[in-house]
Amino acid sequence: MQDTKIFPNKLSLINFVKPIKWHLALGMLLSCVAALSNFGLLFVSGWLITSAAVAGLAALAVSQAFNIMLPAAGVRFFAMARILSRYLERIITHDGAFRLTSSLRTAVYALLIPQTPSGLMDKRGGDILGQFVSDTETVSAYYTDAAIPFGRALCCSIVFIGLISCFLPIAGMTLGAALIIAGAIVPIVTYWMSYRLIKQMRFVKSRMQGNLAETLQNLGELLILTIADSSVNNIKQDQLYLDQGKLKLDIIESTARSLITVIMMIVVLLVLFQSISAYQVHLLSAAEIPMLVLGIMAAFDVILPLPAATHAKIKADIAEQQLQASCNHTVADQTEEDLFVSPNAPYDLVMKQVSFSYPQQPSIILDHASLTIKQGEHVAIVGASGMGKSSLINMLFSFYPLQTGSIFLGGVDVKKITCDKLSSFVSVVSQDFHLFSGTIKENLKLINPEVTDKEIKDVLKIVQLDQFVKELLEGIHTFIGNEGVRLSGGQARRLAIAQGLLRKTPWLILDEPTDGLDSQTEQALMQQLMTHYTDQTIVVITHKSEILPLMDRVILLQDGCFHAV
Amino acid sequence: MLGGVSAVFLVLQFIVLAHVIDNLLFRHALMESQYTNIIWIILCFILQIITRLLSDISGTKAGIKIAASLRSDLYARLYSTGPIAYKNLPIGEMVNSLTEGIDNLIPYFARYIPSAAMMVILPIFILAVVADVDVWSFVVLACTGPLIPVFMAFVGYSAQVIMDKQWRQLSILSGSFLDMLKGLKTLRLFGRATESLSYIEKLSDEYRKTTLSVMKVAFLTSAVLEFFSSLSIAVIAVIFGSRLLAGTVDFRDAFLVLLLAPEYFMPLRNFSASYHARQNANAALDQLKKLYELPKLIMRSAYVPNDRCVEKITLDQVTVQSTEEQNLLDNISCSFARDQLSVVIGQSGAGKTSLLNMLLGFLPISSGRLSIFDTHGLEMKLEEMRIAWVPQKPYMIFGSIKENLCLGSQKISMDRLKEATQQAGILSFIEQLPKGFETHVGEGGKQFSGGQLRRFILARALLRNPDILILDEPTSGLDQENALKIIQTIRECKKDRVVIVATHNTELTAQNDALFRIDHGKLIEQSTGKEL
Repeated sequence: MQDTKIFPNKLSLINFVKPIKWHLALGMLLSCVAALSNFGLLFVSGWLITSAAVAGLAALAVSQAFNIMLPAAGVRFFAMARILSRYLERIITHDGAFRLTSSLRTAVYALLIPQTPSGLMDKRGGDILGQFVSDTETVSAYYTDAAIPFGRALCCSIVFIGLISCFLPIAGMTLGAALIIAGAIVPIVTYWMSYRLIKQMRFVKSRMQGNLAETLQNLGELLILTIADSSVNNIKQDQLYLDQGKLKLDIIESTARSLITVIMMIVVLLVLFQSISAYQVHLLSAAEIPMLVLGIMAAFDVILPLPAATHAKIKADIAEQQLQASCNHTVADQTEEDLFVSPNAPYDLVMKQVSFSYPQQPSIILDHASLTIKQGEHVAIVGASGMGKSSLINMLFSFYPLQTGSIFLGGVDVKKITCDKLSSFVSVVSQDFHLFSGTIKENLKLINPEVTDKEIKDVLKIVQLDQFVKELLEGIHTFIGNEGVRLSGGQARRLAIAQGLLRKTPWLILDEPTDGLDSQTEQALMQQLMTHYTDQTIVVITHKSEILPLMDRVILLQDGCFHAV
Repeated sequence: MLGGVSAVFLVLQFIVLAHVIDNLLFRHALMESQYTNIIWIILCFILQIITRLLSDISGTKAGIKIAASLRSDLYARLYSTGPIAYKNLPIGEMVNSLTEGIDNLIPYFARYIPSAAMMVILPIFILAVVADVDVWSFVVLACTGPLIPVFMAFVGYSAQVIMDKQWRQLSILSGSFLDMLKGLKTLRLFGRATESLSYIEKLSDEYRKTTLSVMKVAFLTSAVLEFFSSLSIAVIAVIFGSRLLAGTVDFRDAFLVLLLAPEYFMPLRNFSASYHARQNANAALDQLKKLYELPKLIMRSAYVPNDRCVEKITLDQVTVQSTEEQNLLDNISCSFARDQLSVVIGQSGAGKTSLLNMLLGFLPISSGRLSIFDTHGLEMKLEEMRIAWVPQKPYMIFGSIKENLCLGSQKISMDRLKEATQQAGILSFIEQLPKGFETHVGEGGKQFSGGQLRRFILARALLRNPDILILDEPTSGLDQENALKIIQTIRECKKDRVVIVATHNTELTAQNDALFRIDHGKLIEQSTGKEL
């Protein structure tokens, strides 16, 4: 199966919204109900006390005729409705945001699979993976932080204007004009003022993070050159720009909020004038005046969060662009006809005149190197660190393109074999292996879901972890922590080897399998491997001379070429 | 502070507003007579807006200032811990702590602390005003006000209990996406990438459910707050209604209290909304703690200018331990002399790099003694020697060749520059470039080959006219031809200085004047002359 065929190669937000659209709509509805209840509460309370006051001033008969129970019940109703709908709104909208994050992340992950690891490398050491985590979160926050406030403002404004128009049309018109200014023009201006700043800040931030990573990586040399200070000063300058930008955004947001409050106050005063005039010509009763004033104040409650929502929208937009950009890298060409190509037995590996270096890096890893490994051979590849022993794995899986030559497995050019297909023939335990946070068994099951407890037991014995697991209280159900931190380096490595062994592939490539092991365990592990897997090809990349006698053949990688030892 | 002032203006504004409406409605005042009062309202309003704006901005400013000073402090700290102290920490994570982590502290100082202060000031002030206006409402507000924090704490506590119970699951699940991203290469190599999609979906679904179960309780905190504030507003409105009906209370007071009541609860609401600022800040502090706990390993402070020359460096039973107290170097005694090419060999991980790091002052000596003698046989301090280092992965800035060569040196004359590049065997190459020394090196120097870069770095080291030149695997990543060239150059620059090279390359090793073989941190072979 080909990677690029299975997955869509573009992120489309609509696709994520569709399956949960009713859920999201419910969140929106509840949030409107909450805002309307709040409005209702203040509206009715204002009316209640004024009309009571009017009645109280009038003759006793009138005051006794005044029914306080109905509006009082209204006040209580709106109060309870507000509490309930706010509570439900928060839960439903958060749930919706989580669902969005979940489907967005799954999609991003699917897009990233064919690009791994080359597309996920950040030359400057920045936290590119963390960026994916936070970007997916920012994009989904669009729903709670931007869509809801704007949608709510729009729906509720219409209701508010309508209601107020029923009492005094001119006040409704005033409110309508004000809401358009405060709810549309102010956010648009905010957007216009902040967009470039936020975008520029994101750029400066990633530059700064890159510089910081570089400084941390090269701190030794910087200290020796006595330029650590000046290097940090560059970072501090970018930081200063970011801080000032943050302050600017804060000022824009606060000013926009103040502006909305100013507009509200103007409307309150205007409506006060209008309603007093109306009252004087008996178009409006006295009780309705405070009601309108309070109602207008409540109406602006839905407008006040809009500046912040505008910023949330900008951030989500930019994060989405970024995700689109990093997910839609072109994937290495694989044509249709190569789809079904798979290596034929015997699975010999032949490298012919291979030259390789990483893109945009000066070091040469291989220089017209050739090598043949026959199926069933147990071979060690040795060489100084930094010579590119581990890069052989990247070449074999076509993670990076070769400059010259080709690599064949079972007579087929590995370029034409998909990663999934190739991995069913070759198991690689790379040096930068990753253990997932979960139990020992979960980690093994993740690699081979059909594995039985018996097989687990056998394989743990081979990798010399049986004794260790036996002594654990929870055995194979022991939680190994984030990235396996609760295991020692050697234990983690052996668990990774166990993962590789459980796949039962004809080829097994182990990169530094005995790093961090004492010599006794090292010997025992290698002995077990060699005796249990006689039919399989085992390639061990190592710098340990102690395990070389166990191998059939030792190949030295030096100066970009393979040499027999 | 400004927040408090702003609150006062807000209350004043409401008092006048209530007054105006009352006058107009019940005292049959004419609109015209109210103009002065309306001007008062506008004045209070403007002052209130301005002070609130200022208070918000100064809060943010203070937060940013605190963050900036914390950052400077941490950078300074990293100078003294040195690169070895954090070599096991992922750089991406450190960068994250130093940028986003510290940024998360800003809302804490900008919003949480001021709103915590406001939570005390504003309600008390409003309460005082209300007490003056109406006793009944005062009683209602005074009773419900203090109840809120109590109930909030109660609900918050039970949310915390649930959270603690599910802490492990939550922390695993919240990091699960990052975990899967990190493991993507492993999954791909094991052919499980496609299958892992459903696993991600399952994990994030579990995360959603677990978080929501905590949220359902946590949101109760705000619901409680809402309940009390709504309840007391409703109670006040209804009580006023009946009292107004009976004519026992003024409309003005009733209206004022109704205006003030929501404001009474507002700071509490803001406080509970900024509560997550505190939680983010706490999480950030945990991250930063890791950086603060790094050991201080740097032995050598800034270079002290002097004109003494190093004759030899002597190690006497030197032991160097890692932070986990493993012996990186075990009881090493040897000496490195002037005018000699000292070659350190041994397998990867044997301790070559630790030896170089110790000489560079990045690793402290646990026991034994490192002494440096000048040409007069007098002992020197570590910071008195002029040291230069050619690391495996050199640092290149985004600039011209000249800027890169002159890093860390001041006022280099062109002659000096040519001399050093000549010595490093790269002068003719630079001069044939169209822009010569002004040629841009590109990001990380990727315009040039590994061999050329190595020479640039060597020239940069020589420009500093070092007494001691330390080279770490100078031939790695080079083809045969370039490797031989650089070996030739290294041999030529040993005059008048101590040159120490760690290498695997046999040709380079053959050029040694003194050879040191290290295995498992021990010096197992030492020879002078060219016998190997």
